Amino acid sequence: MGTLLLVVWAAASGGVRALGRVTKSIERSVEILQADEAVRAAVARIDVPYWVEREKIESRPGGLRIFYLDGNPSKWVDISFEKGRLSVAEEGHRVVFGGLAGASVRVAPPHAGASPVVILTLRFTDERVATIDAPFGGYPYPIVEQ
Amino acid sequence: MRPSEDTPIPSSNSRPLRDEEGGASVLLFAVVLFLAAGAIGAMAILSTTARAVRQGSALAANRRMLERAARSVLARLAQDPTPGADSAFDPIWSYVSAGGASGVRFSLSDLSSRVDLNLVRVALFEETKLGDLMLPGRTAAGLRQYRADKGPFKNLEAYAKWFPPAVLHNDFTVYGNINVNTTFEGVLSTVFAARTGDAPASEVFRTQIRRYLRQKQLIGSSDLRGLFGLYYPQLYPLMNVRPQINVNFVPEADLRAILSYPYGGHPLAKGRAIADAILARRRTGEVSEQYLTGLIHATGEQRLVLQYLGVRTWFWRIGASNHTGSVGLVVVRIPGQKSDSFAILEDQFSADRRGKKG
Repeated sequence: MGTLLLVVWAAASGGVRALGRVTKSIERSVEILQADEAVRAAVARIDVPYWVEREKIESRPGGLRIFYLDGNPSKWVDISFEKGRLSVAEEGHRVVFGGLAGASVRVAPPHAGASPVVILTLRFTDERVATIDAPFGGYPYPIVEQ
Repeated sequence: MRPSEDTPIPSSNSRPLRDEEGGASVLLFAVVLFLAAGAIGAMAILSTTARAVRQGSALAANRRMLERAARSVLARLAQDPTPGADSAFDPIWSYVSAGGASGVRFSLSDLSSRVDLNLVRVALFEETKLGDLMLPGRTAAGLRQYRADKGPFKNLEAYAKWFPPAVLHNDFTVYGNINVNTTFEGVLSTVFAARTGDAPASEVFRTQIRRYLRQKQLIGSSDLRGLFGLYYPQLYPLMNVRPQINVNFVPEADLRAILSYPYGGHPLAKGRAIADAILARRRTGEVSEQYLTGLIHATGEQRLVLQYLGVRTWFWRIGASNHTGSVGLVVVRIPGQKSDSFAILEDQFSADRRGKKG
C-alpha cells in the first residue's frame, strides 16, 4: 500500500512539475502573442506624411521613440526595455510585458515597395528568443534616382 | 456445512480495499481526481492557447493573402493600356468589380482628383462658389491661418470644423500632387523644409516662388532644377508642374469652381460650357489630354487652369477585403522620363475577428 502511495505521489508531483513547465511555456507563448499584437498595432499607427523626407526616430534609454503617430508630428510611440520589462506606450496608454532577460529594438529602413519595419528581439529568462516585425502604416514619397 | 464449490472464498490479497484501508482508497481517489482536474485544466489552457495561436496564424496568413490581392490590383493599374489618362473606362475597373480568388472583394478610389485643402490657394474659396461649401462663420482667411499655424495635415478630419462631413469627404482631399504653380507658397516652403531639413533654403525658395507670382509667370519643367538647386533629388518629382486634378474623376463642384476662377483677373471665356462638355464627355468615354487642352485652349495667365486640370490620377486607394479582414493601400504615381511607376505610401490591415461580413 505504502509503495502504491509513493508511486502515486511521485507521479502526481512529477505531473504537477510538468504542468508547471507547460503552464510557463503557455504563458510565454501568450506573452509573445500579446507583445506581437501590441507592438504591431502601435507601429501600424505610425503614419509618416508623404511630403517629409523620412521617418522621425529618437533613441532613448533602452529603446526608441517613433513620431508621427496617426500622422501627427508631435505624437509618438515609445518602445523600451528596462529592468526585465518591455514597455509599449502611446498617447498615455502603456502596455508592459515582464519575464524578459533582454530586448533590443531597431528600425529597418524601407526597401523596394516595403515600409520601414520595427524589429524587436525579445530574450526570455528561459533562453527563448522571439522576434517581432512590425511595419509602419505610412511612409514618405520615395527619393527617385534621376 | 461445506462451502459450495461455486462459491469462491475471497483471499486476503484479492480483496478490494475497504474498512481499515478505506482511508487509502479515498486518498487514491482524491489524487486521481486532482490529477484529472489538473489534466482537464491544462487541456483547457492548451486548447485556448492553441486557438489563439491558430487565430494569430490565420490572421497573418489572411493579411498576406489580402496584400497579394491588393498588389495584384496595383500591378493591373500599372499595366493601363492608355497610360496617358485615367478614367472610369479603363480595364482596371472590370478587374476590380470582378473581385479576386477566395471571395476577396476589391475597391479602388481616386484620392487626389479633388481640391487639396493642404495645398490650395484660398483665393479659390474667395473667388468662386467653393467658399459657399464652408460651414457658417468660417472664412477662407481663417482657413489659411489655421493651416499656417498647424498644417499641413495628414488626415482630412483635421478640416472637419470647416466643412460639413459629406462635403469634406466628397469635394476635398489631403492627397494632392504638389504642383509648384498652384500650391500656396507658404505650404511649398513648409514642404521644402520638411523634405530637406534646410529652413533657410526653404525661405529662399519661397522668395523665388513669389518672384514668379509677381511676374505672373508659370514655372515650367525646365525651371525646376534651377528652383530646387542642390535639393532637386529630394524634391523632384514630389514637387512638379504636372496638373493636379484628373477631370475624369473630379467632383462637379470642384470642376466648376476651377473653371470659374478669374485667372489673371478674368474668368475663362465659356468656363461653364467647358465644364458641361467635360462632364458630358466623361459619361461616355475617357477625357484625353488632347481633348482637354483643345477644349480649354487657354493662353497667357489663363494657362494656369491647365496646371489644375489634367487627365491623370496621382494618388489611389486600393482595398482588398474578405470576411476576416481588409487591407488598404495608398499608392502614388511617380512620373518618370520614359514611363510612370507606382510606389506604396500606406499599407494598413484591419482584422474582423468576429468574421462579420461587411
